[in-house]
Amino acid sequence: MTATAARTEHPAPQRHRHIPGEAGLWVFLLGDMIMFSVFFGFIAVLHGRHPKMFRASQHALHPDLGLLNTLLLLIASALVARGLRQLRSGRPTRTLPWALLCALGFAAIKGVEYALVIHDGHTPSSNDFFMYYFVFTGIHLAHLAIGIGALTFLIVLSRRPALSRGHLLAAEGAASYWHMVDLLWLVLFPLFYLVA
Amino acid sequence: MSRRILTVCASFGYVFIALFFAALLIAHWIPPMAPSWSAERVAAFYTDHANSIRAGLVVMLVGAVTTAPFVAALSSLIRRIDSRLAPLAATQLVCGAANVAAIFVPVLIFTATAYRPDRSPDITMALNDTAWITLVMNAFPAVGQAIAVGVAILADKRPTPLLPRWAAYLNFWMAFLFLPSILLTFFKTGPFAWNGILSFWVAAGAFGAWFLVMTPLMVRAASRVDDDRAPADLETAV
Amino acid sequence: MWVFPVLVLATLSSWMLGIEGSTSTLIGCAVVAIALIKVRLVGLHFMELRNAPAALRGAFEVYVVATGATLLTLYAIP
Repeated sequence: MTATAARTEHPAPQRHRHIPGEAGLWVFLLGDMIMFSVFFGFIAVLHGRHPKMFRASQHALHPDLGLLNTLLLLIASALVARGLRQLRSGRPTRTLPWALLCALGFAAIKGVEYALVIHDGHTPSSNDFFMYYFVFTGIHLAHLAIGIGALTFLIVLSRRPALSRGHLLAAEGAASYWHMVDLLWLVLFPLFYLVA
Repeated sequence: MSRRILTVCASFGYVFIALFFAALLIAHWIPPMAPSWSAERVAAFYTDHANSIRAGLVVMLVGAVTTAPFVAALSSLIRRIDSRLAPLAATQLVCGAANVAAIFVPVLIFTATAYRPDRSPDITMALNDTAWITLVMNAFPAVGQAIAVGVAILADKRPTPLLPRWAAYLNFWMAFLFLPSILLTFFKTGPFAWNGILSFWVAAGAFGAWFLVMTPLMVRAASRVDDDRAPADLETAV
Repeated sequence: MWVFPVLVLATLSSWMLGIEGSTSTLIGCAVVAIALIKVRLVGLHFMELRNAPAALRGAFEVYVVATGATLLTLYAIP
């Protein structure tokens, strides 16, 4: 197909050191990760101070939905990584819309779980566990919303016949942001749902 | 645009930080009192420290105005990056102006609170609540400001950008750090209360750090302004 | 890529460990440790940080270790 022939190839960054996206982006990503680590610390401290309340409240959550969400994000990340490799080697890619679908699925399931938990009578002001749960997963959800924007951006890029080096760096940046959204949930999920 | 005026305006960032933190200390804002204090304890606080609170507030009032030239310099720099970024410069200016108000409005409310400390403690507490909420929950203009600045910096097409690209990402991160304070309305204790780690300490730290990082960058950028070949239409006002 | 199956396996393992509701400190720490291992895999392989300059990769590794050590300490010591 002519579209394939027109795509430029870029060397895979395996033999030389390469910053994904650009250096400045990592100020933001690492900064965000540090902020979330502070959140993780709060959860751990609460667990240590009020273990009984923590465990009792934890029962109101839905670990099966949490597991499903975790798998959705992992699938999305794998698809994004694959899509990025394809973009880099100039091949056409169709994996990225599926990643977007996973992200939307996560948001929908999260909404369902919030509704279920609230329907059971638990709100952010019920106790500290639920305050942290709603606020921290809520902030994560806001990050995911931006991540959906990043995925959309990647899809738009993938439709172009040719990608400049600048485009590719932007794609790496968007992909890295998405992986961060995944990474943060990988810690939030066990801390809220699994560690009793 | 006069390079010297731009540099001086940008340097007001340092003046602001000095005045702001001096005021915080003089007025006993650090460490912040808790929303869970009783009305009597709040009233006693104002009675015991009346004059140092009043003095610190006057310092802070002056400090609020010093952000005006700083914000204006930042908008000028944004327009200098590219005259087509004028809407972003305007957004920054509007949000920055809101920030000036976001500082002096709570200052005036605190001043009223400290004016007659021997009044009924319930009234003092109500005024105190009003003052603290306007002081800590006022972060949203800063979010808009930081995002406008970040986007403008990334739009710089020069080989050596006027403001470094990492500063854009720093602004985006700061925007996130300012956000938790919006939740203080729901809490009287914990990290999101007006004296909490996330609403106060992280946000205040980020706020101070933002000035301390942006000011030297802006001063350095101002020194480069006359070196650039300026687009012809740059002298038009926002 | 072996990373994705490993991540799924790790997720399922920690899920199975967790939903029993055991309050054992050891299991809790194990779940936390597995989480941080997953974080490291995502960073190094998906975010491609294993190809990044030493400073960036180092910063990430420090982040993983610091977060992991802090959390494990908080969970291990009541």
